[in-house]
Amino acid sequence: MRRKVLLPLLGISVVLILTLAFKLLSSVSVSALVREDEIVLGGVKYYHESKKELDKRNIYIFNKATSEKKIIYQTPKSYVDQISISPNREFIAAIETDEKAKNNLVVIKANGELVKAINQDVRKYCWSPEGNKIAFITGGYSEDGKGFLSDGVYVFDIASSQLKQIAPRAYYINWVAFDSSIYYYESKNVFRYDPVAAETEETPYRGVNFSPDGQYYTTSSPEQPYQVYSTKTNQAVTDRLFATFKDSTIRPSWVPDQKHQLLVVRTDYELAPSDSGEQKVKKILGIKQARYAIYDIEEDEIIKEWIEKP
Amino acid sequence: MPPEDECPSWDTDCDGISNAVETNDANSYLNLDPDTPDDNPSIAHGNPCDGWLENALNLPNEGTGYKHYLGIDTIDHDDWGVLHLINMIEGAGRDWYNDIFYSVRMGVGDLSWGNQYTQQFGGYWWPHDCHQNGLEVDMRYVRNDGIWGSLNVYTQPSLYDQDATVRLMNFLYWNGDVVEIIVSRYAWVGGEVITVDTTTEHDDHFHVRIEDPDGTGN
Repeated sequence: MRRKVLLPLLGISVVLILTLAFKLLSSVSVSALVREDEIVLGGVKYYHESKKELDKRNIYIFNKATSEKKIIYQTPKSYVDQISISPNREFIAAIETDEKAKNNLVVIKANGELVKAINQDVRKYCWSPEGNKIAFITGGYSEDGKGFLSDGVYVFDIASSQLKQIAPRAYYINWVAFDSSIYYYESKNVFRYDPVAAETEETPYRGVNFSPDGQYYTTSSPEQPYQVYSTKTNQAVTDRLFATFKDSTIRPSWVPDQKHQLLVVRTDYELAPSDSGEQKVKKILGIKQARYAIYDIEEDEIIKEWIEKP
Repeated sequence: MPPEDECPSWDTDCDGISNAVETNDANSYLNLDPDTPDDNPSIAHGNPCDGWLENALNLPNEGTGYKHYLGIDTIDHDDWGVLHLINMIEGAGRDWYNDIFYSVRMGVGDLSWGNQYTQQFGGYWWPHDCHQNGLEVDMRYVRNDGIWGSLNVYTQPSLYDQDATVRLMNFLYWNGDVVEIIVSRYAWVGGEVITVDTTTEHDDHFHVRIEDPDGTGN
């Protein structure tokens, strides 16, 4: 019985997370909380409906006017995850995975045509600012419970199909527009890779999530306390931020085009009642609502808040 | 101190350090005696992501209701902590063993790094960002097939026992001053102490952090 409850919920989690991503990636506002993972490309929505186990294999094209949907890509593996569109809006990337085999990073065109499937156990990726290249981290869970262990960082050039390793390993990666560099986090250090000069240098930073103009960054690891740092001084901006974001369901992310604002999401869950004693941990039965907030760094306060319900 | 006959069987000198810990070879450098009360020797310095550990205690490799897994580490190098962390694991193991959901021992992973011969404990330890001062432990999610082994809740949802995992997390909470449990978004558990990680980092384990028993000022 537990499975029946759990499986429909799996999709909703992705939905909330990607709803955030849609808001950031798309110029089209999402007025209501959507239940599918969707992205908007050239005015057309693409999404992968993960509420149903079988549909977790598909990426759909969705006609907003007619509400028709059509499968444009179906993975031969079990799931499609981490779907995103390229900044130039020409390509869609996704990671496809299953229980035993290595993860593929797939790059497809808007019509679903497969451009490339990179079978290197890809775990995370990011687009170049121009959208013509993709950087990714490979690795696996080789230690049966130690978590992810990285074994490579690569750049794939879509036009030439060239694949180049740029580092032996990393845990977080970001290809930023402000200096066209790839920043990656490994062993508590952040490195900057210059793709033109093919040179790497160590930086003093503690995370790779930079503001659009590079003036601030936030910590990357979920185990570290969330904090915003100035890249100029490498000092924490304010202690108030940590208190504000303490109950954030997911790590806040930078609002595009708004230089120093963070989007904070808090999800209110419907939790199972306690069956004995004081239970601090409970099963999630569903999602009540998602609370969004825009936090302005310079103002040091929340400047906008709203709630969306499923 | 209560009379000797009121001491629990696992701590016969009632000093709050279990007999298993006191007789654990890796802890011999501390000269603990299971028949004579000992003071808690362990001190957490700094914070979990930038700290170290003094007079660390080694978790016995297995005990009632739990078993430690090594992964790529060598024996007695990846399982050092402060007494409160060790007690939380042992206490949760005992509760878990007596629970109706118990089917297999809980899988205990990394605590903090240490070496009893050099008596150096804690500090940065690849690939962990934290786990530095003996206040944290990684644990496996509970499988529903009775097998003692790893589980990735994202790629193996059909093997995930959500009820048992929730139960286990509460046992950890009841046996320690848990301040945070970091879980995968696919674990589908919530509550005051839960932080949901939306990266892939915690798909195959959850991360438990306890309060620094001697405060954060040292």
